Amino acid sequence: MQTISPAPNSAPKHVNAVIESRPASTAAPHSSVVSVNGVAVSYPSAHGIFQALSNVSLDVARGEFISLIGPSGCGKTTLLRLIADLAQPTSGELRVNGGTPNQARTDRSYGYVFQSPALYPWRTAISNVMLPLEIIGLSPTERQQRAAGALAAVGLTEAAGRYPWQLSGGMQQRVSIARALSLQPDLLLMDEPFGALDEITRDKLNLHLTDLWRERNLTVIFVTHSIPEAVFLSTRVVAMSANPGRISRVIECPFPQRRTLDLRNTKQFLDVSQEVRDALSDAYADE
Amino acid sequence: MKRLAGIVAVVAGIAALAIVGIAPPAALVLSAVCAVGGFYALAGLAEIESRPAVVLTPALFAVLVLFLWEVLTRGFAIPMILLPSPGIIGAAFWQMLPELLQDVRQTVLYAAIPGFLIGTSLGLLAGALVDRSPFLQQGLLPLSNFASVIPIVGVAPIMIMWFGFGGESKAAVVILITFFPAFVNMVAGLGQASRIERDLMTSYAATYWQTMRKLRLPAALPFLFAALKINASLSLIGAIVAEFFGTPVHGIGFRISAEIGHLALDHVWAAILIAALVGSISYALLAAAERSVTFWHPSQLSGRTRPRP
Repeated sequence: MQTISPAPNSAPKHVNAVIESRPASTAAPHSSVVSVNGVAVSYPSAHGIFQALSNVSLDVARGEFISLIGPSGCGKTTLLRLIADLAQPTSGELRVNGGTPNQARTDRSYGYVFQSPALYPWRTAISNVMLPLEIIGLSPTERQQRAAGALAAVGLTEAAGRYPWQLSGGMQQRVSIARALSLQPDLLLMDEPFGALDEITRDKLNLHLTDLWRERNLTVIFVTHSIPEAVFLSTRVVAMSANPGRISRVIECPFPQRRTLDLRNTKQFLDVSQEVRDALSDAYADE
Repeated sequence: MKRLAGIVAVVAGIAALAIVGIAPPAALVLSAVCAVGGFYALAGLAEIESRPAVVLTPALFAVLVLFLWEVLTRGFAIPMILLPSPGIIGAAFWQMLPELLQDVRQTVLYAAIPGFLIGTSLGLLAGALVDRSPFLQQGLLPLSNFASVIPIVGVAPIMIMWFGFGGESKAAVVILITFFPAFVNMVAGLGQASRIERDLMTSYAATYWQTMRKLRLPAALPFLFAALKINASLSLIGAIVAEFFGTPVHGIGFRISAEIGHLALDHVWAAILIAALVGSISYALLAAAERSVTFWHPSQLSGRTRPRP
């Protein structure tokens, strides 16, 4: 879908995809969407000062898919929350789209997918997807259209009228992804979104996510505990370690943009996975 | 077998009612037969999961209890001052209905409802304000938990000194009684939205009011309805008890205290009956409203569809 030409009358069944996706060529190739510079987070705890993050620096270019992986307490969620302006650094500087995280948040320029779907149980699936659109003040018809589009993008058109408790865990998380997509952000921040799902559902959603990333030219920062998931999805895997939370190694995943589950059986995939595993066992050895 | 028991119970019951005036011992024996057969048949009915059975079981149970009350009070010739039979209470109720309706008007319209509305709104408002200040929340909540267990009806005589014998002093008691349940439940209810649900709103840069309207108030609804249901019964109790301490010549509480003075226990029971009816109706209305508004809450979902994981 990356190679579709805009010529009229050709490949009409792809027209929707062209409208939905942002052509990669319009974005500056190496502008960084997120840049983290010497950031530290610490707070007082029962055992003195706890260093959640120490001297973390990371540059994320447009169109990258970055996974943050590491032992619990390594600050990967904290880093994501800093970028989203849901937490504040003790020192250091963060830029999101060239501005402060606060500007990015008030501009609604990112979508955040939480560990749990956090769907409001009094709203139907589509009404949950419309929630951010109500907050930014779109007209009802526009809300309806955009939410329907976002639900279709995660393959849940039929479930639009159902309440969260009538959906499976995987469907709930897809609704929450649709909700994040409904704001049409360039940047998607995902905090272990598939952690609570079974392996098969997770595979499906991983495939779905990598398609969305490619088709919409999204920049994704993704927190996970799973090495195969991180390597499968990412352009780079950021291995972190705890006490204090820091980046221990960044591993490139040099695979083509279009990914299928077969990728996981290739030698290259296994090699990269092993590299991440080694980096992590170093991180765990520090504990 | 259970169907047969039911038929026997109905026949024995009718016979017992027919002869209780002439041959009390025989009526008592028949009523015992009716009770055993009736409960046995109802136990069978309770196991059927059809809609009519679900409605019928408690209704027939109530009929059975009323029947036993009637036959036992008459069969044992219990003095009316101790316990009148349902028949006597029913007759008194019917005969006094115009007066009782006036009493309801006085107690409910001029005391319970205004007090309920004012007290509950003030409590909810105070809860919402306190929610904005962690300091007040920590300081006031234990205090108000304490205040909510004080038997506030005790202040009724004081309120009569302050506001006179009319409905105003009763409404004042009701305001005091209903304030704290509303307050405590509002504060607790606003705390119901989870961290992630709030973070979601923050990530949208939602305003305080947007977060309130779209997240925190809906999440608080089960608690708010708990407060409304508690306050509905408290306001009726408060208004009735406050009338014991002095009132114009109407009101359910006035009726009860005046009729007990004449030892007209059937009239007292009739007044209690109308109070019970008013209380049940208001509770049922609130419960129905709750079901339609908080249909999503796990407590409402049980049995209908599987609850939220």
